[in-house]
Amino acid sequence: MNRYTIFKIISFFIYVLAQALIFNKVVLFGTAYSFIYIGFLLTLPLELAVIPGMLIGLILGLGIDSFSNTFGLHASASVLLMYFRPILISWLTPQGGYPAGTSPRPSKIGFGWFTTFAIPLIFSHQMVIFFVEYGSFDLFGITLLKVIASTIYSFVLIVVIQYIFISRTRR
Amino acid sequence: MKSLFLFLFKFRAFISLILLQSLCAFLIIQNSLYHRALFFNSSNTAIGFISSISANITNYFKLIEINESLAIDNARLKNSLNNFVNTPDSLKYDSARRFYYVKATIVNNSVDFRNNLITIDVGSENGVRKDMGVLGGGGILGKTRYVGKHYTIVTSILHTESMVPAQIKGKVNICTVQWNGTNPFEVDLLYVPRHYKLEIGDSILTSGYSGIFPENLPIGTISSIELANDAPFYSIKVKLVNDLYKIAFIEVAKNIELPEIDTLINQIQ
Repeated sequence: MNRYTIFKIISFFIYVLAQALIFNKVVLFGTAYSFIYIGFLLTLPLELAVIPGMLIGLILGLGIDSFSNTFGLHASASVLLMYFRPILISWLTPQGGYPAGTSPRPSKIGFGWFTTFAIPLIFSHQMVIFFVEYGSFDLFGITLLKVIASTIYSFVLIVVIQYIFISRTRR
Repeated sequence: MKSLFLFLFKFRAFISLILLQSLCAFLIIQNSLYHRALFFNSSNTAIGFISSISANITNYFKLIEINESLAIDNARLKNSLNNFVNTPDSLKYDSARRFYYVKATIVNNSVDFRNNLITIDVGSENGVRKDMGVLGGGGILGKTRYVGKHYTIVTSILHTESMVPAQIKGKVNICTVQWNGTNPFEVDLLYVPRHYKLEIGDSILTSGYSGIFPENLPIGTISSIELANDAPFYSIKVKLVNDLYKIAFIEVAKNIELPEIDTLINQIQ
């Protein structure tokens, strides 16, 4: 249990409470939803293996589900996100690799890198959330609009949170 | 055998993805098909408690709107009381007397999804049971779905599975209100045959046939009417009387005759 692990465990609970009590209620124009808890999953260390990652996604997702009464919806989306995450990291990592324990945070690893990394993952997460919640492909246009709007909105909020609340000295 | 283990080891990530996704799918299907929820929902006491703290804070900022809706509700009640006192009709069987009301506060409410659920702060300890009507903001709000000890989850009227038997005041006795999942201020009115003459602004009331809601409660007013050439029924949009964004204090309607009705229905089946 080093300092970093303790910091991550505390921020896990802060993310769940912030999502459940504040950001679930901040919906723009009934279209753009903010799922900032994805930020926790995105900024886990780069070398995290896929199976522990998916378990963390499952626990976080069930935590969010408990508050929003969605019964496994967020868990499913987060597990899928954590399955794609190492694949995307292996595509984006340069030859030399990164030092052990690096977190993919925009201030640390570059804003462009973070954007190419985060946008596809958030998009896949939102696709699961909205299409499973709707349970069908009727109203496809409206649902896709919600997916795209929410991806952009969540991404902006996640980046803002990374810059404002999490101090630059942490790795 | 060795190659089997090698295969399993090689695809361990994908296999565990499938396993975890099946667990999630099980949770989702369990909820939507059987209306049974496991541990992970807000009728759980600890989660309900945290949500109620947040609701207490947000309700403070909504006080003006809450007071306004209570005042409107009061005025409506006084008006109906006036009718009742002035023309006492002992022959008329008044269905409203079958109901007792339990006061409750909304702890968690969503309106933006396709299937919305509401958490309220009363539970089995306050006498709430499954499938009771929930009223609020001068209109109807939904039906209880999971009853915990101190908290209950309500299927909102803004849930694609919730259907409410309704009537058009003075015109049609049997029709059904259902939400189509898009606009949180409007619901659809189904099964109104084409031979009725309807107007925009006609009021929609509960019919009381389900035994869940009292009779003649306002649901909304007709905001648009369409009739396709070969359709047997109208397609009607109804504007809700209550704004589900703003409701905070509500009542659960407890039908004291419902157990008797249920036993009768069970005897037939």
